[in-house]
Amino acid sequence: MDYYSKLIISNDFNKLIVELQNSHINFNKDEISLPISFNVSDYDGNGNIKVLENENAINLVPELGYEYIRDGNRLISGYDESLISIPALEGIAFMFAHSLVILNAEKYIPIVKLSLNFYTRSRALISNSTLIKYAEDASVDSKKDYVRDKSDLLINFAHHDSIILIDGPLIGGQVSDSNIDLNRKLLKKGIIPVYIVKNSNSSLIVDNLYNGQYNSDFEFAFKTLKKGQRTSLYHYQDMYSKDKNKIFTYIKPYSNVSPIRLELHETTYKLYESELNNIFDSIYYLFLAQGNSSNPQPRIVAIAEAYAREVLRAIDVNDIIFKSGLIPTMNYTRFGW
Amino acid sequence: MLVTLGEEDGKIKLISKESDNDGILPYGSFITVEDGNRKFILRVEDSIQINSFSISPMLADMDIKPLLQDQKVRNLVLAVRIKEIPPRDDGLNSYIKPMLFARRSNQEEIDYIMTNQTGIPVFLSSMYAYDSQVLKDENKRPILVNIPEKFFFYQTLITGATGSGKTAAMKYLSQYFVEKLDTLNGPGAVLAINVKEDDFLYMDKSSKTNKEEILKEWEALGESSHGIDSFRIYYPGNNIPLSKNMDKNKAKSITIKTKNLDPENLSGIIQNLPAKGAEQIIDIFRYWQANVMGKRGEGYKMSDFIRYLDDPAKNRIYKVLTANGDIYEYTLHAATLNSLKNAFVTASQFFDVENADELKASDILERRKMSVIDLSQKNAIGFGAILLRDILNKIYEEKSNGNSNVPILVIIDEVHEFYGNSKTYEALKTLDAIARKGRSLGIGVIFASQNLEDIPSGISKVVNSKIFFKGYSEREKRKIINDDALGPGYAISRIYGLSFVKMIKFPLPFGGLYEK
Repeated sequence: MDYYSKLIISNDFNKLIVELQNSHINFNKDEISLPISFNVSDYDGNGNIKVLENENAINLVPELGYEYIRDGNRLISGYDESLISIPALEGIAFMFAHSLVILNAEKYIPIVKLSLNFYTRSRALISNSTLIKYAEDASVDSKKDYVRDKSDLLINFAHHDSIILIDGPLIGGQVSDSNIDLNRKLLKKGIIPVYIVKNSNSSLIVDNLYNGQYNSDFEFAFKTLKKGQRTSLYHYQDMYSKDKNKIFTYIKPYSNVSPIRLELHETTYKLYESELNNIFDSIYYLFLAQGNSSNPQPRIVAIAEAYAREVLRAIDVNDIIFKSGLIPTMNYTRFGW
Repeated sequence: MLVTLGEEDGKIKLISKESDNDGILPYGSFITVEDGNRKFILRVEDSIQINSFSISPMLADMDIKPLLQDQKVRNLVLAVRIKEIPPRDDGLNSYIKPMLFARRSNQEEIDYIMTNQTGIPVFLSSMYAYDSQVLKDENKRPILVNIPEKFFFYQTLITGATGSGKTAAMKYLSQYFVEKLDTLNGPGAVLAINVKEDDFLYMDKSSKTNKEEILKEWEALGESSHGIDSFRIYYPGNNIPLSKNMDKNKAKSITIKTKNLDPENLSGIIQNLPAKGAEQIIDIFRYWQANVMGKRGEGYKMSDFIRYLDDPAKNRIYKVLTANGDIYEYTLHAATLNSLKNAFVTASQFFDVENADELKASDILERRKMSVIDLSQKNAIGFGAILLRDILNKIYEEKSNGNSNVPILVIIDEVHEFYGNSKTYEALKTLDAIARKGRSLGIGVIFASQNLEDIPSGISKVVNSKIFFKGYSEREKRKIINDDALGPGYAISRIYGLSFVKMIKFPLPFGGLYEK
């Protein structure tokens, strides 16, 4: 594994543009979105909760987290993505920037993968094309492509024996199976994936342990924790699929700000239980280093997000459309995520 | 190594590559952007450090260290285009595309953008915050630029506080003029007016310094310390300068004989009078010179004229002879008479001095010779103003008549002492005429002063080059850059024929420099 920053453009990127050009797609220039974050919905869950630690609120030690990162016990990296939607009369294109940022001894190394897909419900259109995709519901199919591209990037470029902080839940929506598969593959490379969930209505703890006392797990954690603390670890056992079992904790990096859930697959926990305190301290340190209470994120994830957005901003979508000979057309209701 | 990002408000924006980020490129630096076979030379207008990633103060609050990665800084630069190489012949300029690499320009490239590659070598310099320094190429060699010789004849203004390097620069330019000037079949002659201390009095001596940086500068110029071979100091009357370092054998007493004095030249001494009063005293003197001097027992000396002025029997009523030949009577105001008498009494010690010669144009107009008129002695300025006007007239006449083809550089330090204020602007109008016609006659003038505010507005109109050393202006509010941060020898320049250069450093002169 080398340590150079990369911008990887998917193999079919240019070919797809040619095909779109040949198919005379009518894009709507005014409807191209700005780079936005992509949120996979959280999993409400259906199963049991077990408390793994005695304390309800455990102090985190950012100094130890700093030392853990500095001493390079494990490389830490962050993943986030950003997307642009480009609607057309004949369908919709999504351009994704998947961003993996590795914090090595001296600097942040970004590796960004750019992918473009076009989805249509016109069978006539796909008959003349190998890359334009048929989709009854573009929002569903595009998510599958999204998680595939994300997996490709992480499996190919994440460093062996590192920790990856991934923005979004481990389990959620139509991508749970792919996410679980990705998790498995990462574990095989000795990588520890930790998922970071900022917003959710999840009520697994509340429903199982504090019925009626709180509206959600986030409310419970907010009221239980002081700044710089995390809750006990909780073990979730899914009623239907063992694959969906997970371990999670809530941390509160700043006062008066909603806590954040950190979650790991059950297998990850079993393999790396002894390192978790170091990892949580490090994550707390990275929250402090970022220091943005209006958008709490570990620093490395925030930087990954910034790179993803920057790459999309740097790509002149208008230019691509015009160069491809595609003609913008009248206003069109956006087919959004 | 920098990377272009695009254009912003007419300036090219560049950022340093994180992997090659040694430091901040200061204001005034030159950079070269390469795009295949094409090059662009840019000059840095603004340069700041920015953090690659903003860092949270929360860590400081908790006394926790930041990550090394978060301490990375970059250099953001805004630069203006100076030249495209090779130039296009279709009337267009090429785009400077984003994501092109840029580096510091080298000497060869700086030479290329110069329209005139010969001239007076000075160092290109730059500034960041309070630090001014000589520009270096990527191999740490200082970058030189040549001021075109023609600049001498387009007149120059130099300002700067004591210790700013203003005088050293004038010495450097003088030495170049008498040793190296190539234009007008040079070398030329220099006439410098020394008004304070002994600044110009030992230009015949080698400069003495042990400072490594100065020796290195001389080495970069291929020079070593040496004085000017042909050197002469002229001092008024019996007031030989008191300088210890001066060679007394090269000092010569000069005077003006009152009987030869052009009445118009008196304007120098009476510059504090209202214009009308100044005109009258010139006409009174003219009458005295034509009709009284040497007649019926009257003498030929300035003291005789003072006695004439002071005669109570005249009751302050004097005959005047105008330049047109009209004669009439005029009554001087008592206060005017008094201040006139004082001025003449003070200056009279320098007139009609026995064993002293009058200065001739030919004394000055000698190739490779530097002449210094020393007016640093007490009360010498008033006489100096008359003398200066006298000698400048002679030089101007000699050159106008085609009697001399020797190029000459006149250096007038503390010029406001001679030029007076705007009301007495007429006082040295010869200088004005010289400055305006200098180009065709081969006469260059350097006007120097401590403050920009001291410079009469008339001068600003005749000079084409301005060189500002530290402290050039205390009152100018809208300074382009903080001139207080200029180190000795560093100057902001607006030099004729060198418009793209904003900051230079003068090398120290090879002669006439000693550690005070």
